[in-house]
Amino acid sequence: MTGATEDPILRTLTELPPPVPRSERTERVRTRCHEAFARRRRKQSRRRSAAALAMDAACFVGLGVYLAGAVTEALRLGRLL
Amino acid sequence: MDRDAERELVSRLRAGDADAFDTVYAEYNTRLFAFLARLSRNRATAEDLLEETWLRLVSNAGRLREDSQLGAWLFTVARNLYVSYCRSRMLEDVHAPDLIGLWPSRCPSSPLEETAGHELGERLEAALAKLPLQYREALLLVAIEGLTPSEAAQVCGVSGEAMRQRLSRGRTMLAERLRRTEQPLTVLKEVRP
Repeated sequence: MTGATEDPILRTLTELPPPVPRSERTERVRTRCHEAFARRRRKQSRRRSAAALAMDAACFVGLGVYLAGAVTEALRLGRLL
Repeated sequence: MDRDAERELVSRLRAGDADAFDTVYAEYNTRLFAFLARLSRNRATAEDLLEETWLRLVSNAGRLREDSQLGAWLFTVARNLYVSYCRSRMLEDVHAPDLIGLWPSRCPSSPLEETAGHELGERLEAALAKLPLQYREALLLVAIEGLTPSEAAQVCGVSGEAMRQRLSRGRTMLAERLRRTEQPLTVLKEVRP
């Protein structure tokens, strides 16, 4: 705020000692947050591995279709000759 | 915290880095608690809302914008949680100010100064607690937490001009309330036996 340091009331306000949270509660909240982060990371990595699995399956199916097409085409050409 | 350091922290938080969370937690936990405690005038409520504020950060960390200002973001969430709490309980300004009464260590140079400082601090804290919410939060954010008026305006969802008016009005009301609580020295009278 402009002139906050010159205003005695505002200066006293800035000098008020802050209420402090209890240390055991502080630690408990920090732990809960860490657990939540870990859960989020696990979920992300599960999602990533599921996506990778789906991609692998799609590649296999695509390759299978391609090979089947190639074999069919080879047989057709063989019959023509 | 400078802007580059803050950007880096935001990017690490987005990636789910718990060490980055610890840095932000160390920087803001006491400040957010003080803000919520003075806003709610109740320690237990402040602690509950503080916990919820941090959990919101964790659950929204992946969605933070790269240029997010963590301080403003956290104070906004804390304030919104308090507003929701008041709405759900219909509590704000039902006067039973459960003052926090915490006056931890300071270093006064004399017992007289200690008493005077303590007394002024208590009166100021009490006067602040009795201000209407909109003025109290303006003073808490700008005068105590050091946010700029425009950052505070963003936190409270008002225009910069409205915030400046609230600050000015809040300061005047605070001074007025302080004056009213000033007690004149008691003059001892001689009593005839």
